[in-house]
Formats: sequence, C-alpha cells, structure tokens
Amino acid sequence: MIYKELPKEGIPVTQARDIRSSEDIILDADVVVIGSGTGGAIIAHNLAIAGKKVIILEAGRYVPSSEFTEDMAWALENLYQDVGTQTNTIGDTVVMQGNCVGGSSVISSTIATRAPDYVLESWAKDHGVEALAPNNIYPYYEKVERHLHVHLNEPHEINDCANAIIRGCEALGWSWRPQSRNAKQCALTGHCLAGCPSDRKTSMPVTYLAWATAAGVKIYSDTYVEQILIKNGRAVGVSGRMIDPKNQAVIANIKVNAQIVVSSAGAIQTPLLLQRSKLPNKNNQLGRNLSLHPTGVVLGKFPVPVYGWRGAFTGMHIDEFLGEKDGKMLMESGLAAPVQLMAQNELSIGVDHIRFMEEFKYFSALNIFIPDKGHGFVHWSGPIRGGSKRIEWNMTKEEFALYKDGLKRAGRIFFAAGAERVYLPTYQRVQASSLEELDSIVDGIDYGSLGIFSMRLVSLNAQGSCRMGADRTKAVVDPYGQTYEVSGLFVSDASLLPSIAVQHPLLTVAALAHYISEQILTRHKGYFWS
Amino acid sequence: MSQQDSALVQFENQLASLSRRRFLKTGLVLGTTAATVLTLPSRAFAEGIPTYIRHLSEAEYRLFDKLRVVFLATERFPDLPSTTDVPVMENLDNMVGRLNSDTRFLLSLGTKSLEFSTLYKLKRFSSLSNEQALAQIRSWQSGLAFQGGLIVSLKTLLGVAYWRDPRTWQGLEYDGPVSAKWGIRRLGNMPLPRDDDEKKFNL
Repeated sequence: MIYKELPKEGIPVTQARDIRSSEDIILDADVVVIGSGTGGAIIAHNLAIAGKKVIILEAGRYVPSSEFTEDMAWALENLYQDVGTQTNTIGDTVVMQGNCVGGSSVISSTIATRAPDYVLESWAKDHGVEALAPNNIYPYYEKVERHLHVHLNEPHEINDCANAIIRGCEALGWSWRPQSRNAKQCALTGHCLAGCPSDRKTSMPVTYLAWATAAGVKIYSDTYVEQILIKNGRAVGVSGRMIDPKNQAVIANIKVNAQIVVSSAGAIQTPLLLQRSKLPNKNNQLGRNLSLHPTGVVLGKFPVPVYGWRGAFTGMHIDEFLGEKDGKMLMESGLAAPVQLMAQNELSIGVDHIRFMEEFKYFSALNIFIPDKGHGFVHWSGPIRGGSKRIEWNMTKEEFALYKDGLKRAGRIFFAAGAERVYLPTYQRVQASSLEELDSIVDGIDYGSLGIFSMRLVSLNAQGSCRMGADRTKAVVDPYGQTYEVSGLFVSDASLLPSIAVQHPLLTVAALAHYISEQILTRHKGYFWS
Repeated sequence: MSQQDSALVQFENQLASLSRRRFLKTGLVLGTTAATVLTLPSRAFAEGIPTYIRHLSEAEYRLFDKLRVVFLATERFPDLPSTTDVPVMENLDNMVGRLNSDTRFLLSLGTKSLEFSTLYKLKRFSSLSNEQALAQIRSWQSGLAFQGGLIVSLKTLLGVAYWRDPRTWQGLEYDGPVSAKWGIRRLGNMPLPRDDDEKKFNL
C-alpha cells in the first residue's frame, strides 16, 4: 500500500513561518510541481502513488478550511490572487484566480461539467490531440467525477435564485439543466466562493492534495517560483523564494532539483513563469491564445423576496444557447454576498445606492459567459525580479454583439418570470423595467473605443495561454503534456486547453491531469533515472 | 472653510506681501498653484490623516473620505450603521495595503488625477461641497471612459469596505456566515480513492 496515514482534516504544509533560518533551501525530488490547484494536485498524487518523490511549491498561503470565515471580503484578501483585483491592462475586466493551497478549486462555485462533445471533437480534429476526443477522455472524466463526488443537483439543491430563472426559461420554452457540482452532502450555505468551511466542496485540499500527502508528497506554501532551471534544453529544477505573506519579506531562497518539472500555476501564471524562464518560444505562441471566458451578472428584481443567496450557490444552467451553432453561450444562476454586487453590478451613488442595496433580497442573478476567441495575451514585462505581468485582453465587436444578445436573453427570462426590473452589467447605469425598454437600452450600449469600459466583466475561467496541439508551429505543449521547447517540462492546468472549453474548465483540467500523469509514467518514464 | 481653503488664502497673502504688482501676483498665483497643491499636501495636511491610516497617502485619504460621504449616503437609513461606525476608511486602508505594486501604483495615479482635476475651480475635489462633489462624480461617470471606469473601481473599493461589515447585513436581511450558527459538522478530508486502476503504476 503506497498510502500512509491520511490526516482526518487539514494537510501538512511547510509554510514561511516554519522556516527558522535564512539559509538557502535546497531540495531534491523526482518531480517538482508548481501550483497546487486541480492540475497540480492530481499530477502530484498520481506520480506519488507510482512511487515518485514529489514536491509541490505553491505561491499562495495555506489556509486550513477550519479558518474559513464565509465572508467574501475576507476570502478576497486571503484566498484570491491580488486580493481579487487582478485585471487586464485596461482595468475593465477582473481576472479571478485562487492564490492559496488548492488554488482555484478552493474558491470555485463547485461547478464541475464536461466540455461539450463538439469542443472535444474540435480539439482532437483541429488541434491533433486525439486523447481529447470524446471517447478517449470520457474514462478520465468518469474517474474524476467519481473521486470528486460530482453529481447533478437534486431539487433541494436548486435555490430560489435558480427557481426564478427556471420559471422564466419554462415560460419561454428554453432548455435548462440542473447544475453539475463537485460537493459531498452540500450544506447549502451558499458561501462557495469564500471557501467551504465544512469540507463539503471536494476541493483539492480535501481530496487529491490530502491523498497526495498521504502518499508522501511534500507541499511548500508561500513559495514563489521565479524560474524553471533549464540545462541543455532539459528542465532540471526550479528556483524561487519563500515569502512571508504578512509583510512580503523574503524568508529564504529555495531551489528544487528534479528530473521532471510540471507547471500547474494556471493560465495566467504558467506562461509568465515560462517566459521568466526564457523558454525559447520560437513560434511566438507562449502566452497567446488566452481566453478569459468573461462573465457579467444580470440582476432581476422581483416583487417578493427571493433571498437569492440562500442555498447552493449555483443551481442550474441554461443549455439552450450552448450549442456550436447557438452561440456557445453559457448562462447560469448564482448570487453571493452583498460585496459581489460591488464588484459586478452597481453604479448608483448616494441615496440611490443604498436603496439599490436594500433590494438585495429581491434579486435573482443570471451569469452570462461569453466564448471569447482566444485573442488575449499574457506576458511578463521587465526583469525577473521587479517585473510585472500584463494581461492584454479586450472584447471584440463580435463578442460585444454576442454579449448584448445575452443581456437581452437574460432580461427576457427575468421578465417572463415576473421580474419588475432588470439591472445590466455595464459601465453606464443601466436598468430596464419592460421588454421594450430592455431592447432599446441594450441596443444603445455603445462599443466605444475597442470595447474598453463598456461592459463590467469578470473572468473566472482563464484558459488557453500555453495551448496543447500536434502542430508545433501553433502550440506550446505537445499532445502528451510536454512543452515543445524544453524536455522534461510539462504543463497541467487550464493554459493547455486548445480553445475555449465553453463550459467551466475545472473538470476538463482534472481529466487532463490524469491523462498527462499517465503519459509521464509511460511515454516518458525514461526521464526518471532514480 | 476647509483646511485647504485656509492654506490657499494664507499662501495668497504671503504672495501679496511679496509684491503689490498685480500682474506679478496673478502670474505667481496661477503659475505656482499647481505645484503648490502637489507639494503642500504632505506637509500642510498630514495632520488631517488619522493615525490608523497606514497605506493611503494624504491625497488618497482626502479623496476617498469625500467619496465615502457621497457614495455611501447612509444617514437617511436608520437600519444601517453610519460610515464612521463601520470603519470604512480603516477597512479601505487595509485593503489598499494588500494590493500588488502595479495595482497600487495605478490607484495612486488615478486618485491623484481625480483629486486635482478640479483645480481649475481653485479647489481640490475633496474640498468641494457634497453637492458639488456629487455633480462632479456624475460628470465623470458620463465623461471619458477612463474616468467612468476609475469611479466604478473606487466605488467598488469603498462599497466593499462598508458592506463587508456584518452590522450592515441586518438591514439587507443577509444571513452572513451560517455554518457555525447552523451547527454544520465538518466532514474533513475525503477517504482515500479505491480505484483499482490507481494501483497499476505502483512500482
């Protein structure tokens, strides 16, 4: 039996506060994994149970779930990248990302859905990744779904925020489905985005990371990897620094010598790390093809209280417009804490603002996800130390038009369900009280200059910045998870996705991580000399 | 009269004592006002910043404090705590202290641009009356995309600094944290996976 004792709760993590000396830390491992989110945790676990010595380095802090507060503002400060203020360079789109042990799996809304078949077929056919063809990836999906207790919401898990939207869909004859979620015995607190304090969300710290540590994986938090060490075209380890999360003081330099390096830092951080590491980037694709899968929240105000935040955070999604020829538009229910309204919706000032907030209990919320076309670019600017990231992305006219369609659809749903007013997520103060008004208002929203500051957008699903593909002139990573430019360097996170997954990518990233770990252990077993 | 107004008057009087020549006085006032307001703040108004403010500059503090009053007009709503009962500025200061350096720099740039953009009225934004400030904000909201976006960002920060406080939730009937209240048991880590295929790579 490869596993040793599984802790009942929490996981052993070496944190900055545990380091008593400022001397350099030098470690040896078979595999070093950068990032402890879904892609990293699964790879680490799978390689560890195959007998490999694995170390995970996580830039974020370790916050045990027993310390989660169910307070969104606290969560932003302690669990999210850049306190929830990571944005594109223009500053009009917030890019949310977990920054803690467990990564975005800790702050996810628990949505766990497969990519549609037409997406998987395109990845196999157009990008040459046969492993992603539906029949090939299904077994990996099934395994993850089993491990993470993925299930379709039962009726008691569909709250009144969702029920209001369902009423509207059924009045319009539009198709909807219960949301598919990774949660075990969900307590229906509605605080998913702030982390689950009762461990019912099957996030990485209570599943694969816990199992990985039982199989001997060592986790270091507060550890920012600056560079992948490359020797003669081969990854041989990483270097970075352990940083005190309280005051950003450098505690110690750290170096890990390894036979294989896996970057699982996510679609924003992985390309930045590869750029800092001076990956050759001959095809100029590194960091490109970034999709943000931007979302905006439309609010419907009902005449009676909905208490939309009560119950499971997300109850349903609308699949009427998800098809390849229907716009690939995902729409789903979900309303969180009052501070969510600050981030996404509300532009009124003074007395109007307070009155708006007092309507909170009357709101249902519909999130619209736009399938952007991978025109984003993330890159590192400046020196390795002291440089900074740049996320170049703005909405195209085509996406803008699609988004306006989404606003109209959301408004129709709410009015069909009996809403008396609809608030639209733009940088203008926009609300409609009737269908006629809705159409005219939405038609009047101006694209402006390059779409800048036109719509209020949040990205929860950044992906595609180190895409996988069989054509090395167009892809960064080969169909088996290894980078084309550096051998022994693998990627396992949402940056791999060849094009937008249309659905939330967590489950696909997890399935891919299982696939890539198999490739490492079979196709690339020669890398392990120990 | 605000602190700033009295400082400007004092400054003008000093200039007047230097020369009675009208054109010189005018020229000096116009030519040096911008430089003065950019350099005076740290010296002349530093005492106006509460000691608990550790991260906001004087200009930022003044701007946000005016926005606090204008954005969050809680005084007419008896069910809501005031924006001083809720330590909005302290919360905001803590949040700003956690921003990364890039975002922090942009915030600093943005706040200064707004605070000093009303200089043509011989007043900083924070010295406008509440009514004037409200009108100015509305003008920014419907003006340049950059200004409108910046206002939204600043309002987001202030809104989070206020609505994050549990005392504000009662008025909204928002439940806040419930797990402890409901006595929800922690499940802890999930049991180890038992898949047979997990073992095939065991070496």
